[in-house]
Amino acid sequence: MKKIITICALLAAFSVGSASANETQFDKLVAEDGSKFRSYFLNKFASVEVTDYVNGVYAIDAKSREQWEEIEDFPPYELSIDEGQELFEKPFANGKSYASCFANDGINVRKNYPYYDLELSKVMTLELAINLCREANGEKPLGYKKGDIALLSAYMAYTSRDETFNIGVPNQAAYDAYLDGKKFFYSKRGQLNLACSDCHLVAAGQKLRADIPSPALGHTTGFPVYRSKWGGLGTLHRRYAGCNKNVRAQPFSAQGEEYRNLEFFQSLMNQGLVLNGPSARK
Amino acid sequence: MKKLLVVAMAALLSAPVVASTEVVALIDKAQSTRLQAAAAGFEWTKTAGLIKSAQKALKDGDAALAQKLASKALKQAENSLLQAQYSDQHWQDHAPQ
Ligand code: HEC
Repeated sequence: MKKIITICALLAAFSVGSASANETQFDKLVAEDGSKFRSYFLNKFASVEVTDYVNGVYAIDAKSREQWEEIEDFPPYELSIDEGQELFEKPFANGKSYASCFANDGINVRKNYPYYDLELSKVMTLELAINLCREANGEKPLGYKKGDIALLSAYMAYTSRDETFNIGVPNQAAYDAYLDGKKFFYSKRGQLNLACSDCHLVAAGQKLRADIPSPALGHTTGFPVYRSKWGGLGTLHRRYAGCNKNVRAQPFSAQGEEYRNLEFFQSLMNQGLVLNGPSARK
Repeated sequence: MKKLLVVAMAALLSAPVVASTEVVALIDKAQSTRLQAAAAGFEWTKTAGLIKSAQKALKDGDAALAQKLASKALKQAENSLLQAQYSDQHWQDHAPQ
């Protein structure tokens, strides 16, 4: 009897592991949301190809696009990819390395993140997985906004370039995490009383003071990004915190539950788009 | 003499007389409301600083300034809490239908 239960549990674990082969009712609900989300932008910017949304504001703002294309000709993050690879391959004090913690030795796995971890009952992002790997091997965790974590993330993203997200919503708990991120995205926050959606849906493409907010479709695909304003690479959660602060809302900690669930929601809205990290931004 | 007294009283009344115990209570209320908003995930960035400045003004003996800052902080905290409630009820209205 016990053996049968074990086998059943194993089978269950496998079947939820591959969402595309085994679509759940939750995947269907999310796909419905995703199609409304995409339609919103495709109607708003009728001349923009859906594949171009991975380029953020440059997909819709011809004026800044030209300058950005010049930057991407000699990408400022190129060295960072090499540095990230070096870090990635450098053995820990115990002789093991990052590769030992990831499927396929960590190559071309960016597309599998963020996913809902059924054992830990939380959204697992790439950056969180990197730090869990370090801790499991007796190393100190890295800070989550910039520096080595962004370099490692950049290298790992680079090995998944041109792939599409391979993520899903295996069960109710995962769907709850998705809904939590969705709620975050549409909730007004801060003294300026603005939701992410107020800028990145409603006002996408409009000039707000000096800036034009990008369409939310495509957010996350190009991270980490090299921002000239930062003078270096930064992670997605660093950007989230910046956008919260800009509306005078108290930001949350990078890799805390709020931002991980938000990343889960945003990534699920981007299914079908290719990953193109790292990238350059103003 | 009587007239003088009336004038003096009027002057006294028009000047803001702020009891520091009242200000302490106001600061406490701002603080607890701010913490409620924070627990809901809707704290604003300036509120804690206003409360700190109010506390400092009170310590420096400027109860009137402390009251002004604490009132501002309380208003912010109350609004952020209202925002949390609004968002709870209305966030779905903002998603593409
Ligand atoms: C006041 C308007 C405003 C609000 C509200 C806002 N943002 Fe932004 N955001 C911007 C602007 C402007 C930029 C810079 C231009 C760009 O790349 O979109 C930006 C950039 C970003 C980027 C980087 C996009 C890229 O391609 O590099 C992400 C991701 C992002 N915001 C997510 C969010 C999320 C999630 C929220 C809600 C927590 C949010 N933003 C709230 C205005 C806003």
